Amino acid sequence: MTKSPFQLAMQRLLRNRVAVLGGALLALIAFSCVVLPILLELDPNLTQPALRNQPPSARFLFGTDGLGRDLVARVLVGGRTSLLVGLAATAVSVLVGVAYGAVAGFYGGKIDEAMMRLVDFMYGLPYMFLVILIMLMFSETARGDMLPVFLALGLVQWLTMARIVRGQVLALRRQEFVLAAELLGISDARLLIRHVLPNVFGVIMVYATLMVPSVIILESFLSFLGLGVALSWGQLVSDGIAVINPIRSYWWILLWPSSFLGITLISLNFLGDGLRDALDPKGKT
Amino acid sequence: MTEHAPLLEVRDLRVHFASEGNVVRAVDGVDFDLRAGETLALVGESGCGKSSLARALVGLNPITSGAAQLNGRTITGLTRTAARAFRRELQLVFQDPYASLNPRFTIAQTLAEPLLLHRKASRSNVDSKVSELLGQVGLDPELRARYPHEFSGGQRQRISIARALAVEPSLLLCDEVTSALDVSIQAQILELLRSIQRTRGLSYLFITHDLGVVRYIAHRVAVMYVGQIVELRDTESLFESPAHPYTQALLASIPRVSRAAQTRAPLPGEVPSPARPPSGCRFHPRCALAFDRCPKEHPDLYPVPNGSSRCFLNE
Amino acid sequence: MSEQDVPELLRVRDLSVTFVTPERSVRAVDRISFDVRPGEVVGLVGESGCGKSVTSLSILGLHEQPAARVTGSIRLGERELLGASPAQLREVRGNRVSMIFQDPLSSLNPYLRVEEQLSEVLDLHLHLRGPAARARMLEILAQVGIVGEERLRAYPHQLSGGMRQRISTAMALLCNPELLIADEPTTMLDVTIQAQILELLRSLQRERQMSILFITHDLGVVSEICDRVIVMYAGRIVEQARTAEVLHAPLHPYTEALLRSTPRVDVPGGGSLHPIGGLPPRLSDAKLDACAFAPRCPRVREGCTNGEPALTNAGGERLRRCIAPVAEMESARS
Repeated sequence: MTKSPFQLAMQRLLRNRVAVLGGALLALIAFSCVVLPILLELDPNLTQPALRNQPPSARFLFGTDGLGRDLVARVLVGGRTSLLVGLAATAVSVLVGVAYGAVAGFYGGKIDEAMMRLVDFMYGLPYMFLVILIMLMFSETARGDMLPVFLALGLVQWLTMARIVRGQVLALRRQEFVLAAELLGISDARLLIRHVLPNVFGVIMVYATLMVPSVIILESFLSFLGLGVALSWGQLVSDGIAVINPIRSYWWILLWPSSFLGITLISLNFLGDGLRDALDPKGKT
Repeated sequence: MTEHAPLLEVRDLRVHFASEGNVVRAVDGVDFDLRAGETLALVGESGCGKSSLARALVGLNPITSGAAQLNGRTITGLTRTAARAFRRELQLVFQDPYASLNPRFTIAQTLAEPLLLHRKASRSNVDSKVSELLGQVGLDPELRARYPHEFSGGQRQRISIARALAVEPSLLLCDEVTSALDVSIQAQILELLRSIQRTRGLSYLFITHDLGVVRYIAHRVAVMYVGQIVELRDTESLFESPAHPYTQALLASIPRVSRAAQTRAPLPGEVPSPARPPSGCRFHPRCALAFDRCPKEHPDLYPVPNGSSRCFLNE
Repeated sequence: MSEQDVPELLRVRDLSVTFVTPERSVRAVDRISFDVRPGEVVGLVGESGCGKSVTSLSILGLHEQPAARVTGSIRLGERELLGASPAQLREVRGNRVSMIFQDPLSSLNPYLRVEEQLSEVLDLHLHLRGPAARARMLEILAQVGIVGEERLRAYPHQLSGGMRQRISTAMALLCNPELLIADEPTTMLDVTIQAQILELLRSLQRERQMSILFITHDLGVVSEICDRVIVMYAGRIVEQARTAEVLHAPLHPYTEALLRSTPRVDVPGGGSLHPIGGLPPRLSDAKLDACAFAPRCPRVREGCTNGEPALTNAGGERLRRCIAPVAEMESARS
């Protein structure tokens, strides 16, 4: 049975044990965060002042925080936010970045110059400042609404994706098989969508996978600053650091969210590296 | 051959482009005709302009001046949409078999696309047309569900040729199509091209640096040097009695399987860059027969038996 | 003193190179043996995948471990090169055995000027520096036909292909090597420049009585420069003899077929072309129990698939790996 390039790449990926480990850990964490709170009927917001600051025990596996809330519930539910934001914001940046970069790279010349000037300009803007501004603006109108978060974070990342896609498309545009298709009379739209983009797909997947951790960290940072909209790992880390003191160390309040965050980020990186090796064994990306 | 108007007419074609502050005169005043069913070889060393010329003819490079006509209609200097009207008649096969096929398409998809686009097949019969095409280039039709990475260089070139033939062109530009292949595979492809020419009455504009291949496949030869044609002749006349000193030097430089000891001195000097062509006759700095006129004036193409040559000695 | 009395400079015995990847194992070179004598030019000829380049890289230990498994013996004079320590190999490389490659652009460091690349070699092997090194550089460049100090200051990208190949050659010759390995040195050059480089190699070889192992696929080049020829197919040696014998009276069907499928520049119409049908074999670790060329051989017969033919002596130093009788091949020519 003949295998398509994509199938061969997946075969190579599965042989990469580190990448598979990363993928498995990711799946495990995602599953836990999404399903377990429902199955176990966990409530992250139930305050039980009598049980505050309890170290890990049989009843509270991760312990409780300053308001007596179950940390297992908080970490898992908080994970939903972090992961969701990571995925959604990356999706936004991929969609916008790919569309923008593909058009610039495909047409080249003055169109490309103009479009990339805009990207260069936007790169120069003080991003965190703008993101914080956006978050502040929206936090007044819609508390708990995730959309502004996705947009704000996606807006930061699309520039990188646009640059990467533009570079790949620019190079592929001059490849003989694309020229041959053009010489056969194939329309520009079909050339871009059927011939060029499928061959860029691999690179997009790699960079998207590696972008998710950046977004999660960004979101964590925002939460850490108090600008988050919902419970997330970043906020939990912030809570954990707030109670660190030399006299009574409530280490578990910091440990669990940071571990989950760290493992997720490392797993995403392993997976991303594995994807890169699988899709491009000769190291062209 | 009956007296038809030529299939392809090229008149004073020039392709210049700017690079690092210089004007690169890649193609600098080229004229020739190509008749139906004929193979014209374009031969030369690096910088001679043969590839730039081919790409200009299909519209991949912009033309600076001059024109080319296919069946009486101008094919140069057109917008991309206007050029699309000629996509059927003029096809190009590339040198690199490993870059010429979309790695994500099966062979069937690669061949079906032009067939369907130009209505050479309908959705109901495209499969059998693909099989037919594969058969015509000597490949097993059962292979059509495979991907390019499963094929060798020679097989990929066959597939590229099949793709070009799918739209039933009258002229095929072959840009160094066998240069990346082993000798034995090259022989297979050359034989294939010759037989296709016989069955379909195709014309070829065959670009190569290999004079042995030229002698085998071409009816006429155009030798190019730094953007210009320096000799244009019937193949056998060119090899038996080359008129231009560059052609003579080129033929003498080719290593041959021969019992005789090789005693001739190689042609001195470097191949000039088309960004800085020598004054007067472009070959004069390396020419053993150059005289006082050569650096000063630029020779035209003068008639010689069965062709023309750009040398004052042939005037 | 006959040829057999001169001790070989390079003695290769049972050399095998296998590349191991997670997907499969490829035996690129399968138990080949040959000699190169002092002052002799030996051509290693074949099409892509025959193992000629892999063989040449093995001599100087240039394969990437651990992907490449190299076994057998490669002796330079009295010294065994296979399995030699990196320090020992460094001593030999550029010094007793030099190599020039196909792509002159990638074999020169793009970030270093010519003089810097040459001085590296001079310092390492000949311990020359300063004015003495400079003098030697100019001397060697003059010998490869490059005159003028300004070339020393140039970067590789500022020079033409022919120039770069001359400089690569100069670098290879700085220490007066006994053996020069040339891996397709003229394949990427224009025809007229190729003629210059071949002439240069010929004259340098004559002057220095240097041995050359010349790897190429071009039989015309072989005819011009090689004393002896080794023809390879699918990682094995299939024929070995003096140049004139191999090219004008081949004793292996592959050599014969190769000659007949090459378009001839000096024959009307290019001569009649007889392509070799089929495709070159896919090399795998599975050892063939048949002649590798049998599926494509015009002289195939029963017995060709009964085990691999041995390399037999066909008179003098001629070797061939074929069961078709010599007489049959000779009569086909007349």
